[in-house]
Amino acid sequence: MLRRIAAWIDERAKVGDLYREQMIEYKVPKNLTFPYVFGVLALITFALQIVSGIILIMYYKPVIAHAFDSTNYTIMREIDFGWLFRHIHAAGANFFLAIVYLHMFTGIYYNAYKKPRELVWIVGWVIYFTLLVTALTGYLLPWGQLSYWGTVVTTEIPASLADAPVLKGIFGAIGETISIWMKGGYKLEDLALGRFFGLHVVFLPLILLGLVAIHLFLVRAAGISNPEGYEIDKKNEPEKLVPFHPYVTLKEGAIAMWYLALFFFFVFFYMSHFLPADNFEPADPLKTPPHIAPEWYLLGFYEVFRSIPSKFWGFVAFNLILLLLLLLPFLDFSPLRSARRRPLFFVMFLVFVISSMALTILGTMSPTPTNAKLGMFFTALVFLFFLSLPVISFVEWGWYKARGGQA
Amino acid sequence: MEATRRDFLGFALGGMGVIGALGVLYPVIRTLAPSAASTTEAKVEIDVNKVPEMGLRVTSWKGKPLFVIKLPEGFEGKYSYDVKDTTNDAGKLNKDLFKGRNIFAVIGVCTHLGCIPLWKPEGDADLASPHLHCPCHGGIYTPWGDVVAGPPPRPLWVPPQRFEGNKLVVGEPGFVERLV
Repeated sequence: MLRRIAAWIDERAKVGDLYREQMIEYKVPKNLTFPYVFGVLALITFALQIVSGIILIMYYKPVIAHAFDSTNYTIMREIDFGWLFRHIHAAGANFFLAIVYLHMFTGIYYNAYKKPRELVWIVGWVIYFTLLVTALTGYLLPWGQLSYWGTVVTTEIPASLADAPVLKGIFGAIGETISIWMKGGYKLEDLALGRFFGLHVVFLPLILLGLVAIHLFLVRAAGISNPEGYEIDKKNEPEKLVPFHPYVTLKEGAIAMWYLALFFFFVFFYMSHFLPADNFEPADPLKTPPHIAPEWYLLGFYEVFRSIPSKFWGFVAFNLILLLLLLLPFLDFSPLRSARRRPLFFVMFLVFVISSMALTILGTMSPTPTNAKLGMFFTALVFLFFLSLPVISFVEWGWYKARGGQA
Repeated sequence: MEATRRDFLGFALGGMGVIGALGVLYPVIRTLAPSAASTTEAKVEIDVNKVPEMGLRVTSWKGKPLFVIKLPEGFEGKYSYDVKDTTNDAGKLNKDLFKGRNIFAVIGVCTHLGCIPLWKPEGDADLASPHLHCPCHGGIYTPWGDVVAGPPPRPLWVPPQRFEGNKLVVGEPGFVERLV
């Protein structure tokens, strides 16, 4: 009976054809390495965020009189397993960004942003940026001390435009306008909470869903990149390809299980980092908590911002890093691909990874003069990475031509 | 059919997936369960010393208005009612269910269409004796909730209740065993 129903549906919906085309006839390189799994893990985390978010939204109240209690009483105590979904959502946000960072580093390492995959990278960058905004808007919702003061600081950042060396008046007005429009007034109140809530639960997730769909479509359209950095000729080298199912599904499915085990270990046993104690105190606009720093996924940018003595140039610098990241496919125009075959690029990639990590670690430390100097140093190295790409590309074009156009 | 390594991997992974899906489904469904706050409403304690004679105290039980009524001694001999031939789920009149007790609780929701009856301890033009009068369609009940006149199809509902010292505990079986 079930078989007949399935056949009836398949005859009309052609699900079987779709499955065969997309899962079995879809071939991927045999030599995909472990880091290629991060895309799937990001997708899984996205699904977890949506499911847990739907549960939380049923009980959360986006009004400052009730936001804190609805989070910490209704969800954490009154609703069966409400705590579990809050833990999943809070840990999921951190895991999501961690996986996305790993995914991006993987893409940079294997040069997966190069032709014909520039759009994959650009859409991926927009996903990353949207994700940062989603994390930022979601951070305010529990209306604890950290939520409140974290958002106060964030909404003050555009105001650093007022420190511009020239056209102070215009820059200052732009900065203040951005800041006020983010908050809906001079203070963080119901209006701000309401719009952060609306953005976080409807607008941004919809955008993310759309972008993720486009991202996946583009990956399929351009074909997955290869760790060895050359495009496999699908007709002449079929031996270098395997069907997506069952080879990749089984392998990545198994890794996904390990990932979920790690994720739920944190959810059940180690949430203090994702839900810090300070945030279990209701927001008090007249008292700043003693320790306040952005979440770890913003610390790198934060360290760039604060180690540069001028607020204006700090603001420009971290926005420039974001912009350079977006322009990566055009900065790196070398005919060679994958850090495996590009020693110069590999060195600079290491510089970039180490600098990013160093900036993140410095972000957790107090801003002593030494730390500020170190921050400047690693900021310079990050810029050096981006600036080295066109130079390396020139050099590699030379090698490429010397070898008669052979990669 | 021979089972291959791949079959084993497939089943192992699929099995873990199914367990994971159930593990998600269970807490999702549990979040929809009635909250602890709402289940505490299933038991109400009333200090009967604070209810005046011929008085009616309104509280709530399982989200419905609960009438706690205290009648003076000898009330039954003083007034008589011409009750209709409808009985509660125990097949009795409420009055017989209470067995002459002068403190009891009934659910203050008219059995006709759900309005809340008014307590008229002095009676009114329709009926001189003390009674409950539903303002919506004119249902009239005795103080025990038996139907005297009007459209109600059955007496007022009576929740399980018992005495504990001077407290009337509604929601636990006692002189009324269950909701009738």
